[in-house]
Amino acid sequence: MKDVLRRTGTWLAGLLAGVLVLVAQAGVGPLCQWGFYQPETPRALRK
Amino acid sequence: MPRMMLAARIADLLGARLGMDPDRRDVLAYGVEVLVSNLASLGAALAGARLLGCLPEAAAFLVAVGLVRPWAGGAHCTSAARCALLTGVTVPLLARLAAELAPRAAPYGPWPAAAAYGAALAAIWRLAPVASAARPFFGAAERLRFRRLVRVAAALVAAAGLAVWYAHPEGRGASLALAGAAGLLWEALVLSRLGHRLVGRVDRLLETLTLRR
Repeated sequence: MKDVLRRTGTWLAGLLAGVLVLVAQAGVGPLCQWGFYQPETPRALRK
Repeated sequence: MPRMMLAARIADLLGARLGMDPDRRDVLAYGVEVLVSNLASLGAALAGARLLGCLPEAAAFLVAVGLVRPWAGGAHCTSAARCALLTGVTVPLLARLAAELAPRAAPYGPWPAAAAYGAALAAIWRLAPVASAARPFFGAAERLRFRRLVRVAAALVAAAGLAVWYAHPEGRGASLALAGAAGLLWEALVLSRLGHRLVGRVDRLLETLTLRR
């Protein structure tokens, strides 16, 4: 049971991380977010 | 610029679980920041507009800015909270102003809106795009691509705004057209040196007020 919970947790973490990576890649495409805050572009996404 | 505490914490949690290196964790934190900062600004702008009773005008303002700003760039605050506060004050106020001015501008036909769009287009044409230290241009080709995109987007917004005016000149069309023009004018302002100084001062003032609390 513990093992199933651990694996489910890892699977959910992976899913959330995947969504966040997609958002990050979409976020770095334009020159800025539409609001008045521009997060620092991560080194890994600086082309 | 340090990462938002919430973003860093979520990224650390996920990164530890998935065995990610610091560079990959930073990408996750950036994703959280993009999500949170945009949702906070949008929420603040719409809540303020609801309070001032100008939700449709604020939506027109946000659509105009939302189509142009991602390619135009401009001045920024140094935290997502200060950004949300600034957006939550400026968008409703300018949208309300557009709603108030619309009946006064009605006797002059489409000319006040057309003049506002013309001035905004001229300024954006000349000034955009403006990168920031947090998101610099990745090469000259990208700069040129943004310049083309921002010019097309601004022209489309102006054409759509005037079309909305012609569709319903006696009613809401006039206020929506003026709100779109206000959005473009605001964007033109934050592209300029004056706009950068203004946003910088507001940012520093809000930072000081937050620290004093």
